[in-house]
Amino acid sequence: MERDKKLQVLAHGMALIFTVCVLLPLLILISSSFTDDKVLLREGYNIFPRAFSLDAYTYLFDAGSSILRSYGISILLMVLGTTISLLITTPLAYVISRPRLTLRGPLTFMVFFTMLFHGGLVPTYVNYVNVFHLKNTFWALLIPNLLMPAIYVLLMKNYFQASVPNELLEAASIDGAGEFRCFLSVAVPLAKPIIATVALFVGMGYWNDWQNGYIYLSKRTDLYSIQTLLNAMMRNIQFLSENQMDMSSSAQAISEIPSTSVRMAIAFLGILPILVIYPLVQKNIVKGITLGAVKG
Amino acid sequence: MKKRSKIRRELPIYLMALPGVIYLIINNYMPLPGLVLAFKQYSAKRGIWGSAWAGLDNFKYLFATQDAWVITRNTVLYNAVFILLNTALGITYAILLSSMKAKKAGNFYRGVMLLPYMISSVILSYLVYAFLGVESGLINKMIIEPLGGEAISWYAEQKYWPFILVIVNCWKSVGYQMVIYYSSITGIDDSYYEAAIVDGATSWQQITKITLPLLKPTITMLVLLSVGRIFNSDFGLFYQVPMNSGALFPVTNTIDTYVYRGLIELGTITKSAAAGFFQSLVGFVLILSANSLVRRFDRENALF
Amino acid sequence: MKKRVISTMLAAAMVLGLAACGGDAGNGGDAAGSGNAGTGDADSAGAEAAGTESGGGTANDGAGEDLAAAAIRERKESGEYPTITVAFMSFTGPSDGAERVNERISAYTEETYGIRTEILNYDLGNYQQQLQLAFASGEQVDLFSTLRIGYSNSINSDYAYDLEENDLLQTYGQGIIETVGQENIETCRVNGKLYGIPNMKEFANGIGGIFIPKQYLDTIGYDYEGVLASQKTDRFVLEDTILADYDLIDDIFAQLHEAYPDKYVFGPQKSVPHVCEVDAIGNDNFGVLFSDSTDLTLENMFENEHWLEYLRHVYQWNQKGYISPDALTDTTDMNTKVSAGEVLTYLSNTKPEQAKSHPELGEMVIFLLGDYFSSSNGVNNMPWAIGSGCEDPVAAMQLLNAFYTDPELENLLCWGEEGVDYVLDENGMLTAPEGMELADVEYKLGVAWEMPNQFLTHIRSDFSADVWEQYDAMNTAAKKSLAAGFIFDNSSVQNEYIALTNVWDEYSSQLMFGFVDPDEKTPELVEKLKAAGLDTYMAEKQRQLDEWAASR
Repeated sequence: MERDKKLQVLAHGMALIFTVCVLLPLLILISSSFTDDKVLLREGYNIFPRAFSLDAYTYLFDAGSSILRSYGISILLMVLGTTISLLITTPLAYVISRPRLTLRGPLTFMVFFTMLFHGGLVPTYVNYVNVFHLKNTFWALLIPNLLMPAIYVLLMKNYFQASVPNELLEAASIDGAGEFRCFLSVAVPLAKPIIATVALFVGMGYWNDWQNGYIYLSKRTDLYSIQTLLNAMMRNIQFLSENQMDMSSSAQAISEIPSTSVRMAIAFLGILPILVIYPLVQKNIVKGITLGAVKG
Repeated sequence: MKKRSKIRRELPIYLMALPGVIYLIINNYMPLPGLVLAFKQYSAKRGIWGSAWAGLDNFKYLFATQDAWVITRNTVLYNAVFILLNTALGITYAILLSSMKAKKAGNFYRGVMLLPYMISSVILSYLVYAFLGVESGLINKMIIEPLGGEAISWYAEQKYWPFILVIVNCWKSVGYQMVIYYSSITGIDDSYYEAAIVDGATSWQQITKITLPLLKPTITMLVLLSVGRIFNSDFGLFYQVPMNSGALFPVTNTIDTYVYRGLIELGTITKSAAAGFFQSLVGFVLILSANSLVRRFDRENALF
Repeated sequence: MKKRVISTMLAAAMVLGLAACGGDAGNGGDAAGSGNAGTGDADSAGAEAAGTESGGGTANDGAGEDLAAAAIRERKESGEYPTITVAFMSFTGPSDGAERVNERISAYTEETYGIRTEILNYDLGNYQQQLQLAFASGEQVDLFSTLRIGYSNSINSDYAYDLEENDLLQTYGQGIIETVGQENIETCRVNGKLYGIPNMKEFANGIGGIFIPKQYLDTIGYDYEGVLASQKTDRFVLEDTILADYDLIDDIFAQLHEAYPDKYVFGPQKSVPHVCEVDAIGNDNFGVLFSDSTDLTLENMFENEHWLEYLRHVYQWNQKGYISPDALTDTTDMNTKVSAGEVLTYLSNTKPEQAKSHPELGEMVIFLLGDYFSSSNGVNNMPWAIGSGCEDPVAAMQLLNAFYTDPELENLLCWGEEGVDYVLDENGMLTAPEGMELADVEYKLGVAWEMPNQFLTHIRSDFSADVWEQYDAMNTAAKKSLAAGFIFDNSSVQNEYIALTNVWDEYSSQLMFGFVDPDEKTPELVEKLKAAGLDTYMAEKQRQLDEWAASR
């Protein structure tokens, strides 16, 4: 018991250290989004705003519908994407986790291979635009690249192998359950923690993605998600600093690119949702829905 | 014949895999022939297939340079350190947090640790700059100057950057790794621990004798997969975070940043395709060799 | 003939950069275009633009005019209007109101030329990629600016259409030939073929202009008015510009530093062609000519005294604390820092009316260290081209022709709708509608200098009415590079280019911002560049340059 107490102290200690390391920079991010931009430029970032200002947020919400709409699109995309992703990832992972399946090897390899080799941007684009006509549609945000990253299939497969005992499935099958029922009523409940984890990552993947929007929505900027909005801005700033134009040519551009505090404000708005989603997902990544419970 | 009838019997199972397989075909396999772009002299008029072959010309720039050694070394070494540290720290935190009795606090910590993963690398570079700026950076202003030291010009001093990059990478990735390992730990049957406790095992023994061995498949897989990407570097980390500062190139230039800098004005698409192909190929070879090694010692945990 | 072109353009008046010009400011024949769309006036302007008499003087020309007018008539009669897409980049992509303006443009071109127009405006960071993807997937790109995607690359990757195939330019682009001038068009010829048309903009720049707001000069008691008034020189010089040397700058900087101890005096500049009269042939610094080069033998810029001299000064300025220690990494644009008052002065190349481009700082005086110089790509650094997959080259060429000649169309593109996005004051100058600032109007383009012919557009009321004459004077007076018009194609030495670029990137900010002693660092840089293949690269450039010279 004495040892266990030590472990608890160690756990809290290390977690606290990390938490401080995370929260300190985040505090800087938040505080600079509330700082007057000129002060920010002159005096640099700080943990607490030196000259409090709501300008960045007024700017964002005055710019009006576009931020809110982007938020809405991001949320819709995340929910839809995560749902569809789970619907196709889980069964595939389950199938390649089944031992003694004839095509198990080839299927696993098929999944694994996609982690390494990818056609690249241009061929992928040509495929989606010319064959599937996704350009300038909402589907372009949903489908390319994000729907089923191979690593999550493999992670789930591993989990099924480790935590869903074959005997249990066989028992169910002897009881007359079809393959699909075995999967649904035995495997899935046991795999809840990994499903929740994958849901979290896929959801974050959708939330953070900006490239699909940037590449496929060239004429539908009204469908930009919040991260596309932010990153398009960042990219333009980067290009401006890489290609020094003469001052008068870029002066106007600069006046249209939002200030640092606005960028910080968007970044802050961008990480807010995790604070909302995480507790929801959390509930499912909980010990206890384990074998013992089922067996008992 | 026998095999075919077995497959037919298994058909209902494959049906479940179908949607996923179709997606892989659409998203990954249909564009795959586009890899030939790396061997072409591209002409928009003739299209990817019709363009003239260029042999291995598009790959030459990756090797025919005095920097080839530096960028390869940087890419591989940093990745090796990242794999090691992220895995070790990820597992450590996953175990510590899963053994934590205060559940609410545990949830809070896990949520917080995942936050950095959400921050885009440009914003990350601003945050790093907030600490390392020469004039108003927090480290110079709050630590070094009050101690009477001379302000350090962080972005001009190579020697600090291997450490800075490793720290920033850990900051960003450990939470992600932790959540994966944490979910694997939750999959471990409680009865193992109950039995161990009855036998009087200490917490330490529970960790080394139960948790770690049962995590092995996940660890093996994640490490193997990272090895496959050892020639790819996190562009944001090596380009944005050091603010593209030239003085740091000897320790920050990686294959991806080198390619980016060289190609940004050129606008050719074949050379970047070649770089991507080269990285994939090396990764593929490495992963196959690593996998066969694993197979030899630990058949169970091999990828395939 | 060329004179007439210039005078027409002068009359049509315009401004660069932010641009605009009074289409009505005393212009001659083309004024019809400033009437409202959809009238007979506009119609005739179109016909005129498409088929003005030409000085080219070949027998074909007579037929050409008819063919051009006939093509428009046929399209209108058939009622089948082709849609021509027009791709270009702006800094932040389409502004609000871009769709509305696009509709107006399309309605106008349909009415006038029988062509529908679709604008494809991408932001700076996306333009190159979007065009590459569009060409790869066969999307329709009919007219495009080669800015960022590169003229040489456009030719090598077969993005650009041969403009003289079936006499396309001669037959349907007479207005272009007249406006741009055959001599300028020829600068776009590569291997005997013509793939692009230079856009009308400044062809030269004042090199090494240090911009100092008058308010700061007042503080230190520098009598710029007196100097400006008494400045006598046989050199050409723009308004508000004082010809300076390093001694004068050293002196002013020292005084500014004393007067504003808590601010940084100088915001340096990373781009070499902004600071010394170097012709960075092919847009890279590896093998260059200078304004005082006497023959076409390329020089190694990194060992040249002009460049080193600047570096030594900027190094001194840095040593004296004039430059922010964070300059190496700070990606904040100098415009922003100067406006925020963190930095007092900055360096940029100059063109007319630039001293007025920062209204929030008040007026500025430009201290020009170099001279006005036109480098080899002064004319052809961002030509317009027709996409190789274009299905109706005739319509594309006619629309391009219209963009070079039709003020109504060019004004729509650059400034939007009159009465909505801007109004003209009593002098025919452009201002924001009642109760608005130009910065607040819905439609903003911001890249008039990239458009085919900004000189057709209205002039902003805060600029001088003769701004276009200033452009012309500057273009004429500027020193010309001996290699003017030469286009370097680096496709056979790209491996070296990539290696060289990485080496240069390693040293560029440190040197250009004065953080290291040039006499110590440049030998090291040169050594690394040589190892990266500088000699090979320069030899290839020299070979092409000699070939080009021989062919002339």
